[in-house]
Amino acid sequence: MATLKAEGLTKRFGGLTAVRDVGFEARPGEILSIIGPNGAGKTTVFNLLTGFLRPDEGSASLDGKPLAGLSPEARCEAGLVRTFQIVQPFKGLSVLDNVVMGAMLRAGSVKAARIVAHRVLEELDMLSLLDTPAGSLPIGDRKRLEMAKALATGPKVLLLDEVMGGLIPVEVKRMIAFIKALRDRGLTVVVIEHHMSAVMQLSDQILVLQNGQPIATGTPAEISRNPVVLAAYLGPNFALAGEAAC
Amino acid sequence: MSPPAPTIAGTLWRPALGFAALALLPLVFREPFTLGMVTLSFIGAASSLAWNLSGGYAGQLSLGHAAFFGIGAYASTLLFLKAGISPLIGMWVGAAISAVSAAALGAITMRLKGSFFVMSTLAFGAVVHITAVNLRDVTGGSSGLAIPLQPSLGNLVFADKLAYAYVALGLVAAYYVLTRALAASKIGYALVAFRENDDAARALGIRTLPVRIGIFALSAAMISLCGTLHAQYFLYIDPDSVMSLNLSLNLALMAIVGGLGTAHGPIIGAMLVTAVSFAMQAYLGNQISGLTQIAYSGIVIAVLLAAPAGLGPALGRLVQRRLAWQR
Repeated sequence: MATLKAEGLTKRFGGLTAVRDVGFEARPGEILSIIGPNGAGKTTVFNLLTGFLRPDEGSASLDGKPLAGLSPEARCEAGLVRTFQIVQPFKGLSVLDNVVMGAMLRAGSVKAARIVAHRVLEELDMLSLLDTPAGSLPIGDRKRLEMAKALATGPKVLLLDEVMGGLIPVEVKRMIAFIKALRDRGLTVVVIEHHMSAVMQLSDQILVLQNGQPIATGTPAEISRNPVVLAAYLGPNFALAGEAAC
Repeated sequence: MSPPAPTIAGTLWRPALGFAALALLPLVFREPFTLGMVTLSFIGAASSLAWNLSGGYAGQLSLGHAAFFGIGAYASTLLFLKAGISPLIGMWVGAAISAVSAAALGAITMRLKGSFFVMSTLAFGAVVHITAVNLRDVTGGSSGLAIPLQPSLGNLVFADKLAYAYVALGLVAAYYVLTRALAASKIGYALVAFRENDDAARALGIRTLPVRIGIFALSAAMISLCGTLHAQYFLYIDPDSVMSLNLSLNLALMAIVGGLGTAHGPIIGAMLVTAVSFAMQAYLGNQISGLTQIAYSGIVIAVLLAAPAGLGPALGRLVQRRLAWQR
């Protein structure tokens, strides 16, 4: 159980400020969603949190311990794990071996890691795919594999980058239930998502980014009525459409 | 390409059969020329297995491994010639020097990606080669060093050339077992994770750098022992025969032809590459200069076109299909 806190995160690429002054607090047993148009800087925020990029300003901490200077490996060890929007499977390896890679972090041996991997794949209903080469999976399964690899590391905080993208409605429904179950287990979950119906069902808090800047935070109900957000991202008819969908 | 399944014992009969067949080769091919071919293919197989740990499993193509082969050859030979120390001890000194220099090189260059790492190993190999040529007072320069023919186990010199074949085969077997054990361990998984997707490995908390440096050092030490054996077999070494770029390329080629990142691939590759190059020398050797190389390259290209993942995996699939068809 851990709290992930970000303060004043800023990242510039040359003249472009990709992320400016982003801050939030994601607490155990809560799902925080980061939404916004393409290019708003959402994935860059994940890269800053996980150590793949270094912020120009600002900081992040896990349970009060600063993450600055830690490598991605060290952050994963501390309990902070991510999935990639553009899925990153070990293509030449089987589904099982992919998940074993994640489980090795806390398992003493490959044998122990296999047991953990099995359990995670069972939870995600992927046992029938154990020996399938990851490179030959359809996109929906690849997204689930991405999730399985991350979960196998035994995280406290899970950063999910568009795990709904490319899923069919029934898969989305299952994924929502699964993420909620993880939250109920006490995990801290941060999701980047374009699937608005999923965001509204999942989130305890929502942070909206536009052009790298936070333009609103709040509960799903607040965000779906916020005029700034409606203008910038959701569109004027979102509230009506949302109600119709429910 | 994936690490072996947990039921290693269940598939042990195949390698056992393979090694039994290899053990017959020196007895079947007893003529000096063919026995030489068999022995050199065994030394090549052991060397390529060593190269494959880093070049195949971690996918870090080194074109400088001949330097470590040469360090092994020169360390044991010089210690024997100048201080009377048995090659049985000298080979470990060479292995230690190789391991330390590989670790130092790796600590600097393994932060480089892809082709930049390859270039750095290329440069390292060239520097060691040139140094050996120019340090005439120590290495004898281009004229090389000769080891006196005084057969004894302590001198690691044998009157019957058959002994070398079996010593080399012993090394192949040891390296094969070591490769299998490493591939099935956390170390092997970390190497493969790096090869397949470095960013994904880092995101999952796999620290590959120290593992890759350690394996590079181990690989250098292993190939260094092969260098000593090579020196003892020929009783003569010079920089061109034990340190050349050509040798580095051949080691990589054997593993690539046989199957990168597999335990049996380098053995199959070494047998084929050595046999082809011997056959070319025997049949085409004195006709048109350069024809040997052209024919050799042609065969290699043909193999790689037919089986891009290497002959080992291709043969494996063939066997599997046969078995499935029989059922």
